[in-house]
Amino acid sequence: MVLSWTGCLLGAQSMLRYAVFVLIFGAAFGVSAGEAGLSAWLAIAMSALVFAGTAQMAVLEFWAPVVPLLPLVMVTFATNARHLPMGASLYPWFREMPWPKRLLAVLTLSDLNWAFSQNAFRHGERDAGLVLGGGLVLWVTWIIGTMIGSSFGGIVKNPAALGLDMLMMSFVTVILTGLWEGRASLIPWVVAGATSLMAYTWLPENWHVILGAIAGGFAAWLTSAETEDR
Amino acid sequence: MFELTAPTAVFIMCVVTYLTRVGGLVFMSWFAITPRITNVLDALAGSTMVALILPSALSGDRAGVITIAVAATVMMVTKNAMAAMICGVAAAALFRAVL
Repeated sequence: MVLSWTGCLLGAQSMLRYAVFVLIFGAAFGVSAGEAGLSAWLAIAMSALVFAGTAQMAVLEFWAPVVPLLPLVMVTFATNARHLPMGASLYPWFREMPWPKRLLAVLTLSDLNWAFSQNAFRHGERDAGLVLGGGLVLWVTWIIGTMIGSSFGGIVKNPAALGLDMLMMSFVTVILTGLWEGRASLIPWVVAGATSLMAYTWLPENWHVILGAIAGGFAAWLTSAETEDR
Repeated sequence: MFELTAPTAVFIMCVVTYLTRVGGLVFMSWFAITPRITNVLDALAGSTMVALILPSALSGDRAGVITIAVAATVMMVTKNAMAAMICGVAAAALFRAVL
């Protein structure tokens, strides 16, 4: 496993085609942030430093001149907790690199570049630059989008009408279709789906991803007991 | 004491978010990578994706279900990821435009 410029470039190329979508979502965040009372500078700084769309949108709900610490930490953690299983799933490959490189490579970890790289690593790719470079393209686009939204408010009011909120869903579905391994996938995926639905229905917002992921992993743990003994 | 100025709040969000990004790697480094753990991590990737899309697809309008069905079908038939994605998003947009 390496972390190279070539890998970063490859990752960047692969994510470039999604740039326009990220741009529109960034703009939508910029607009919403302005409406919630954030200055343009603060909105742009948030996009640059946090780079997590769901969390950024979620904290706008209670943003005020003085921000309460506990909800801020709780909401940020809950919306980003999905990064934990994402990072864990990269570990088998990342452990072949020293820690500084591991910590650097996940700097821009997000849904799209993770799903893409995870799939590429399974198919023999061995460059953590895919994650970092792909994420950097999304990061830059996210910042530019925020700038556009903050400066020219009201241009992208409703990306959902264009079906753009479905982009992530469509992308993840495509990757999932490729990840399907028949019976080995069936039980964990069903358990993950059922758990996430229950968490979504009965628990506060945003816990469904991490809980569904943990339940799916636990199901795999239980069902793979025999394979290890053999 | 528990209320923050806006720049401090952004900084705290930055730290918390980065901790979630490295957290999975740090956590896994405490375990030996046995075949059983490999199976768990294998399942974890798919499970995360299922949990990511399923609840939001089944709530709200039917666009999510349509997107998943169309994207998965096109992917299985054509093996073309880009075509499958575009069809998925287009199907949702079409569905919303018609209704």
